[in-house]
Parts: sequence; C-alpha cells; structure tokens
Amino acid sequence: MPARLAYSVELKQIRNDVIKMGSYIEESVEKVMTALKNTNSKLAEEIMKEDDRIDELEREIERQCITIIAKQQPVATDLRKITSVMRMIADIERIADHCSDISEYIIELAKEKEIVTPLNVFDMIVAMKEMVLATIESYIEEDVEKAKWVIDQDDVVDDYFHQIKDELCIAMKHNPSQIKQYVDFLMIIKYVERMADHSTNIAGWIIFIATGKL
Amino acid sequence: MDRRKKDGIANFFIYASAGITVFLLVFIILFIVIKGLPGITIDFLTRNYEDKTTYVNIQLNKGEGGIGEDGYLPVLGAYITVNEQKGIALTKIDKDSPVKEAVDGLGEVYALKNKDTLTKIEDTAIDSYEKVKDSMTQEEYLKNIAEIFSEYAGQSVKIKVVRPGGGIVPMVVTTFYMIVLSLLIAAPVSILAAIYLNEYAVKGKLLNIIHFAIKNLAGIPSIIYGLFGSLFFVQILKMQYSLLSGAMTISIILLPTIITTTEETLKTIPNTYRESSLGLGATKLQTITKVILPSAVPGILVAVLLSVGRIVGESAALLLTAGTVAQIPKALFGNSASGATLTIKAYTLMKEENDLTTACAIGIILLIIIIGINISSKLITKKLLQKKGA
Amino acid sequence: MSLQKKCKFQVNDLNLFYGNFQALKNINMDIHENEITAFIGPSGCGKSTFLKTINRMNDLIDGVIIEGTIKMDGVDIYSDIDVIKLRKKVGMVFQQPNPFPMSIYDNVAYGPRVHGIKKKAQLDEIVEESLKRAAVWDEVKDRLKKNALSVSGGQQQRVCIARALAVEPDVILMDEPTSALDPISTMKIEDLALELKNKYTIIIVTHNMQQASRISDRTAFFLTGDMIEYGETEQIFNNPKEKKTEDYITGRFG
Repeated sequence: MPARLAYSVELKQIRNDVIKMGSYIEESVEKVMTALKNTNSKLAEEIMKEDDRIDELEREIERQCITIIAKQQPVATDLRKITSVMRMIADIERIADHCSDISEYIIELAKEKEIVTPLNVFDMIVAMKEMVLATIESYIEEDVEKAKWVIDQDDVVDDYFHQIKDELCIAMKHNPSQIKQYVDFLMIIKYVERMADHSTNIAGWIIFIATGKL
Repeated sequence: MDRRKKDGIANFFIYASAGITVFLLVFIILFIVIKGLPGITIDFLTRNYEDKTTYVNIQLNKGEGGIGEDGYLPVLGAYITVNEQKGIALTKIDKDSPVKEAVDGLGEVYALKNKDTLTKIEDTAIDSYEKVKDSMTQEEYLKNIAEIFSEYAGQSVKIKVVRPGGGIVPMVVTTFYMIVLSLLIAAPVSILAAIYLNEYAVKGKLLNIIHFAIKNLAGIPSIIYGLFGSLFFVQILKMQYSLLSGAMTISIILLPTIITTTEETLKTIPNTYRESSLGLGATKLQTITKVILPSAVPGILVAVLLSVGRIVGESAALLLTAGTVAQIPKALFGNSASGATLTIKAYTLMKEENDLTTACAIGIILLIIIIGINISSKLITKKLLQKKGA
Repeated sequence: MSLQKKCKFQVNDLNLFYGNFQALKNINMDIHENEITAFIGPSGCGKSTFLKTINRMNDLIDGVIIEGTIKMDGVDIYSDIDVIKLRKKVGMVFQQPNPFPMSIYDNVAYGPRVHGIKKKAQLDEIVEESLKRAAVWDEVKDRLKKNALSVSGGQQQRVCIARALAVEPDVILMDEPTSALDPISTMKIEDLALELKNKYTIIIVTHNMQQASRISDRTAFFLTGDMIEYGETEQIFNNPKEKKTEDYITGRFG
C-alpha cells in the first residue's frame, strides 16, 4: 500500500486539472489563430464563451490547493508544487483572458473593411503558440530544459512585437483611413506578446517546482 | 567541618554498614556449615529420626552353620558384626539373602538393611557384647551367636530388629506436607481475595478498612497466630496437635502476604488490558481469567514461592499447633497427625537435647531450601517476563 | 461535496458528570456512517470522555452520571441494548498499542473466542482476514505464534486494530491511536483508517489536528466539555465559524 494514498490521489487530481486547463488554452490559442486568419467573428464569439469554463476550472483548482494545504500540510516538493500551481493557473487564466480579448478585436475587425494582415503577425502567433505548447508539455513531462527554452523564446516574440509595431506605424502613416484596423492589430499583437510573457512566467514556476530556485 | 570530611564520614558509615551486613551473613552461614557439616551423612538424610523396633519372620537358609572369618553368617546370607550397645548389626547383605524377604507382624515385607541391629531370636535375647566382654573375645561371642542361628537353620524364625534412627526424613516429609497443605488452603483463598479487592471492590471507605486490616494482619507476630491456632484449631475444633492445625494457622499467616503481593501484581497490569478486553465484548469474568490472571502469573508465583520460604522458616506458630514429634503424620488431624518440621526440630534439638551438630545440619538443609527458593523465584520471574516479551 | 450519508449515531443533550464535575455539556451531534469523524481539542476538553460514552467504557468508572441519549441506528445504547452486544458492535483502539501478552494469533482470536467461536479452521480464517484488513498480515504472517509484544509499535497498533476488527464491529473508536507511534507508522495507521472507512464508521480522538485534517470527513472541536463546532473537516480547517476553533487550529489558543 503506497503511503498516504488519499493525499497522493488529491495531488494527482490537481495535476490532472492543471493539464486539462492547459489543453483548454491550447485549443483556444489554436482557435484564435484560425479566427484571425478568416476574420471569423462566430468563432471569436465561441472563444469568448469558452473562457468561462477556464475561469471555473481555475477556481476549482484553487479550491483544491487551499484544501490540500489546510488538510494535508504539504511540505518540500509537494509544497512547491501546490504554491506554484496556484500561481500558474492565474497565468493560464490570463492567457485565456487574452484569447477572449483578441477575439473581441477580431469581431471589431470583421465589422470593418478588410485590410492586408501585417506581415509576421501569424509567425508571431505561431511562435507564441509554440511557447504555450512547450510550457504545458514541460509541466506534464517536468522537463526543465523545455521550460528554459520557453523563457529564451520570449525574446523571439518580443522581437516580433517591435518589428510588427514599427511596420504598423508605417502602414498607418500611409493609410490613415484604415487606422482603426491597424490599431486593432496593434492591440492584438500586444496581447500576443502578453500571452508569451505569461507562458514565460509559467515556465519559471515549472523550473521552481523542479529545482526549488526562484 | 568541611564538605570533604563530611563526605568521607558518610562514606565510611555506608561502606561499614554494608560490610557488617555481608560479614554477618557470611559468618552465620560459615558457622552453621562448619558446625553442621559433620552431621550430614547418608544416614542423616535417609533415616528415620527415632529407632524403630520390629519383629520380623525370616526363613533362614538351610545347610552349614558356623561363621566365617570375616563375620559371614551363611544361614542369614549376611555379614554381621558386634554392635556397641546391644545385639549384632548387619554390615553387608547378599543379594539373595533371606533377610531381604523378612516379613513383619502384619504380613508385609520388611526388608532388612545394613546397620539394622538384631537383638532377639525367638525367645533368646542377644546380649550386648559389652556385658560379656570380660568372659570372651569378640570372635567367641560371634561364634556363640552363630550357633544360636544354626539351631534354626532352614526354619522360619522370629527376630527382633532395631533399625537405628538419627535421620531427618520425617521432618523433611512433614515440612513438605506442611508446604503443600498450607498453600492449598492459603493460595486460592488469598488470590481470589486479591482479585476481589482489586477488580471488583468499589473504592471507598470499606476497601480502605480492608486494606488497613490486611496490613496489620501482616505485622502481627506469628506467636499470636500460634496461640490462636492452638486454642481454636487444636482445642476448640479438637484437631489436636496436627498437620491440619498447623497448616490452617500458617495459612492465616500467609493470607496477608499473598493477598498484598498478588494485589500489587494485579495493579501493575495496565488498565488498557481490561478496557481492551471489555471493549471486545468480553465479560468481566472472561477478562479476569483470560487476560488478567495469565498476566499476573509471574507475580503470583513469586508470592507463592516466598510463602514457601515463610512456611519453611515458621517456628513459633507451628510449635503450638503441629507439635514437636519427629514422625511422618499419618492423618490430617487427630492423634497421629502431629509432626515437626525441620525448623521445629532444629529448635527442639537445641533446647531439649543440646545437640548443636544435628541442629546445624538441619540449618544447612534449611539454608539450601531457602537459597533454592530464591534462585528459582528469580529464574521464574525472568523466564516469564521474557515470555511476555517485556 | 460528500454525499449525505446515513446517520449512525444520534447524540441528544448529552451531559456527563464525574461526581460534581461536569465533563460534557449538552452535546448534540449526528455521526455519519462510513465516515471518519474526528474529535479535536486540548487535553481535558472531554473528547476522550465523549468517545468512551459511545461504547459505554465510562460505565467502568465509579461515580459517572450520564444524562441525555446516544442512539445507534435508532437504538438507545444506554437503555435498549446489552452492553456486551454494544461493545461487540463498537470496537475500540487505544492510545498505547496494548496487545495482550500472548501470541499475535491469540490476540486477534481473543474476541471471537470470548464470543464462543472454538473451531480452529474458523478462527484461522478470522485471524487472517482481520490481519489483512488491518494491513499487517504480510508483515506478521510468519510469526503469528510469536508474542505480540515482540513486533514494532506500529505493527502492534495494527494488530490491535485487527483484534478489534475480528469481532466484526460496525464502528471503530480510536483514542489517539498514533500518539505513541513514529511518523511512518502514524501514516500507515492513517492510510489504514481511510481504507477502513469504506466498511466501518470510524471515530477518532486526536491531539494532532493535522491528523484530523488529513483523514477525517467531519471534525468536532471540544473545549472544556462543550462542543464548540462541528462540521465538515474542510470547512473547519478552511473557514471555521467560531473564533475559538480558529484560535485552536491555528495554534493561537490560550
């Protein structure tokens, strides 16, 4: 009989829920990309609705963490796991929020006249998506190297952001009539950049779980 | 006075007291051993205390009479020699000697042994050699006797035999009887009483009074019990000086000791044993018989063994209830039930016969018994505690 | 969270006096079947006393007066059931591992034997089954004939649990069952309790409130004879309603 069976089960439940939450944002990020490509306001609305299930899951995991701290007095790695999870789920939830924020702008964009999507926007989103995916994988696999890779990758996304921002400024200068759409895009890439930042945070917590170093 | 001096003086007294104790113990034991050791012989350990006179019928061998150079008497199939006080004594008996099939007056076999003295053949008394030593030599004397025997060759003769005493067998047997009988009475009663006091009795004034009474009973000198016993058992109950009177009196003396020791043992048994057993749905009686008593056995056994020591050492009470006769009691009470234990005999030997050697020899036996009891009580406790896993 | 389970014990207006001293004051509570209910509180708060009223162990103490009722499955345990029968239904495990000074086998077989089971084969079966349920079979199966006091403290305690299980109780009372054990043995006993609750109703008294939080479904907090608060363990430890409870579980008591 493994020692502290009930406790192990509860820890596992939390882990499974975090992974579930990760798979939800994976889905959302994927959908955001598709919706942006096609300026699909219907899909965008769907993404916004799905944000609720992630919020709910976040609250559930939070509750489980508090209960396990109150009832099982986790220490050492277990304590790091629980406290990190509580911070991570906040970041995950922020990523989901940003998905729904981007979706709002997609709906805005759909109402306006279509413009040429700035170069590199999709490359940037793909880079961000890879980061999110790698983050979730590194949590599942407890892979410190992958998490470190995510942190390095943040610079790539930042570079994209500055590059696209500059491009958008030039475009705005040339096409003042479409300035609203360009501002929308500017907001979208800002959100993408923020999502990458949250992934970096999560990766930081994953390294903390494994090494105990903040 | 400085502290070191005080310490020195204190140490001196402590060591001196311990030294005196050990010295006294060793001195007493040595004194008894040295005085008593000459008295310890095979005869002392195996013979009756009193001389015993018996008439036996012996079917003498047929054939030649006379006597061999070495005192061999063919018709008896045994060697004879002159006895100091009276008659002749057997010294060595053939395997197929007729004296081994001697029959006493009741028709039972009474095999003669070495040192048995023959003092009369049919109606002819065998005078002691002392009386006739002026008129004949020892050989002539023995030859005369051989002639008397020759007359009866092949016939059955009635011979008066005196078996010499001087042994302690009756006292040993009486002591043993006394131990068994006293314990049979005292142990069950006191163990049950202890169980009542510890397991059943409601704590309160009554229990305190009982405990007070028991403590005081333990402190009363045994002569008081002896007086009571001699009045109540010996006279009022008309048991006379007897084994049972003695055993009953000793039982009363033992009661408080065994009760107290058993109760102490019962008290050391963790209360959770009782709670666990009752918690499993056992009744109180089941709890006591299956859990409490088995756990208390070592303590009870020690109590019983210490009682044995007490019985062996008891003198005053038995003097007044069991008598001083050196015989094996033939009944529990009544005329022939009297008997002296080793201790009583040691006392009477000193007091009435001034026989220090024999008294000390008995002392050695008593010492051996007491030391034996102490060792075995230690061993039992150790063994049982080991078994308990403690 | 937990389903509303069947109520095993109903305690109504229970008062208990040791002579003039009132040890329990107006206790009212329902104890649920197949749950672990923990009683916590400082020494002398009445939690052990209360535990012992449930299998009427307090009957053994002179001068105890009990008012109010405790019903087990609707039957008043102080008037409508024989105490022997009650104790067969409600087993008890004590603070100190206290196997009887006899073999492991005899310890476990003790209960069935006093209840009249004599067949060797049947006893063998009960002993094995009970030791298995108490999660100690594998450790002691080769030394059943050895003295129960020769195994480790944790194993002794589980043998004691097996001894309690052998009479097939519905309820197991545990009076600080791990306070004399090392942490590893403690965890084993806790795991065992969690496993046993599927089949039995367990009531545990503990000084160690973390233990209560870890294993119990419901917790009752006692203070000087009063039951201050009773509720789901999660609620008691996350969000106690009473200030006194909070002070106690956070260690600010006094």
